[in-house]
Amino acid sequence: MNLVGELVLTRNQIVQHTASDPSSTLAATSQRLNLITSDLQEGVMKTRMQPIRNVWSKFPRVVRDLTAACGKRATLVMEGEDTELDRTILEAIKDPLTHMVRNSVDHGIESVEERVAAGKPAEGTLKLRAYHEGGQVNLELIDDGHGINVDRVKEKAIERGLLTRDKAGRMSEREALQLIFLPGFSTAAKVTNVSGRGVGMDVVRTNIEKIGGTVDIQSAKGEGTTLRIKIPLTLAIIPTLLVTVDGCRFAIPQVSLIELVRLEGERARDAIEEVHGTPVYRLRGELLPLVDLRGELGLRPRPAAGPIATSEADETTGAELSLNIVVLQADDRQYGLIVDSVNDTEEIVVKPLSQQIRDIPVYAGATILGDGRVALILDSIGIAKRAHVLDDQHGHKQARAEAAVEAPAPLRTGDIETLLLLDLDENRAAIPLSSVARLEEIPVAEVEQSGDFLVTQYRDRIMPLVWLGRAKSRAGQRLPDSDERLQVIVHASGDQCVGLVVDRIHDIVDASVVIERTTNRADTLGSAVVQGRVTDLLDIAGIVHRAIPGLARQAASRAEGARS
Amino acid sequence: MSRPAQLCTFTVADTLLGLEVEHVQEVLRFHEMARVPLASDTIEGLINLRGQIVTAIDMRRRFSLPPRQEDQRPMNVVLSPSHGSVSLLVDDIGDVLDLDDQAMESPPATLDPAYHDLIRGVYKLDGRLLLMLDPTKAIDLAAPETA
Repeated sequence: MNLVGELVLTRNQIVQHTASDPSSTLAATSQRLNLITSDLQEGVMKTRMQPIRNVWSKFPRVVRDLTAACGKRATLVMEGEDTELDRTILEAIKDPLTHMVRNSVDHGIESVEERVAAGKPAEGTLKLRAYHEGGQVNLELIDDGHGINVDRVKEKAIERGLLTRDKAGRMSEREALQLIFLPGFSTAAKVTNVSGRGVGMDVVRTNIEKIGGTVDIQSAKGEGTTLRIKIPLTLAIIPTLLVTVDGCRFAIPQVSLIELVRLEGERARDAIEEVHGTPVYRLRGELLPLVDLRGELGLRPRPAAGPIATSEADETTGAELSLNIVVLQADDRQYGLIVDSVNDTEEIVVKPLSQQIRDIPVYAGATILGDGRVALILDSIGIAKRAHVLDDQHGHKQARAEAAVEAPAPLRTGDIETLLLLDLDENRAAIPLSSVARLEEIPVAEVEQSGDFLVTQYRDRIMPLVWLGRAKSRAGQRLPDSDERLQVIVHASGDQCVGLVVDRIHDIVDASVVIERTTNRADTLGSAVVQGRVTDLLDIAGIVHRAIPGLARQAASRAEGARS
Repeated sequence: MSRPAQLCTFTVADTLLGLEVEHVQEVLRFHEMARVPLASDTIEGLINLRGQIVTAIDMRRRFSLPPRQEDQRPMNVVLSPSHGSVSLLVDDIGDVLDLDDQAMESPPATLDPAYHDLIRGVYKLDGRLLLMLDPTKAIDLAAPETA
């Protein structure tokens, strides 16, 4: 198999060389070589391909035995048994698939009495489907059982200390379902010899991911559960997209590629909006976080002006400005990777990296391209983690955001909130009105210095001032000695007031907040579209805590003192 | 008992270095390299050596020496497969010398720590000293690098 890979690579090189000099008989020979190699590759691949039936064939028996043991009734329906997969992949999915089938029968399908009571046919149906889709194989396991009880999943996760109750409350159904993939998780009330040991889905997921696949789960209460596995056809030779950044070429596996977006001319400059300094792009109405590959890899920034400028290639040819975004999938998220130019697709053979550079997570390996040069293969998930599109741990995506929220009324996605809109460094930002005590205008002359802080007298007490946004830097310098007045939002933290100084207060609106976490920046809870503009929701408690670390402690000790 | 040792010699910024020939697979001229962003500075790039991907380690950087002049192209000393696919980038390749390993002395204690860890010993040649490189340590970038 490796030999065929090598042959394909060498063929690529020869074909590319002779293409530049089409005169000789060499060109004809290389063309023949090209054809023969393709045939040989196909032939070898074909001999390695086996129908999935080989693995599935024992499942009817597994289901029959299990249903008999559990006192249930179920039939197994199989579709696409002739779908072919590489032998090594078949080996790898055999155990995870068996486990999933057992799980479905044991947890998914109800007992006959329950099914009849729920108005379903007494006999449950378990459906296995396999089909090709864009260089990948999809495997589905669909049961028509009672589905996964999301509340129970959360309950169990809390019990096992995998989740705090607070977090569970804010978790979406989809995120909660991902919990079952955590190690040590089981919802089974008792351990049977069938399942319930809690080693199941975690291992399934690890095994599938090891061969470059993904597992997804969907469940509707009372209607059933669908498990979907996506796996690559073969491991040895993978199709990739080549991109160029700052003269370096990189290969991106097409498995993680979703689409390419090219913005030209004015659009290249205007379509990119910023959320607190982080670029985002509206892709069909959804916010897509953007990651600049140059920045992420520590390469030279793009030459032209602006936060994200034009690609080099276009500049030299004098063509219009353009911006190439490669939309990638990383786990269940999408993000846009900004590259200088998109070159071509090429089938490559993955080669491992040497020990000195193996630990860099953004690379999945290296390969040799048709022109004989080496290119690194990018790992979409590695980049996402590095750019903080994804957090390091699966299933804990909101952890950071939630740790920062201590506000009395935490923002909840989808709730109607009254927001105070303000301008912050040309960006729109918002604060929930519930964390605003008063709005004040304070003459600059009344600001005094106390230790490291700037303070003012407010209602016979000393109120520290915190500057938001870029105005922050101004606070450190000398005070503007004009007759200017500061716009101050008074925020009460315990019995202590803090003044937040902002550039301009805009408006107060009622809005249904759909928080989209486009970044993991400190100071913001996320962003939402309010009045047609991308608006950052500020994490007031976090900002105050960071600006004046002693404050919370002070307030606590004062409260303590008052009680005793 | 004296044992003759065959050393492949090369220079890095006027320092004469040697490696036992068993550790060297081949010596090559300059090859086109693909950069590896985010990797340690010492890694100059990846080389395509007849379909095998070889990691090139710049010995000047490894010894914390100033970089080569722009027009000076490094030579490759490709290590034998037991060291993984690694090539050392050096300034110039010298002869293969037959030396008696009795003539080797341990490196002086006062040697610059940037060198000390990577050197196994010193040979006294006519009018010149040859430092014997420890191949395992030379390519182990996880070891603390001395600035």
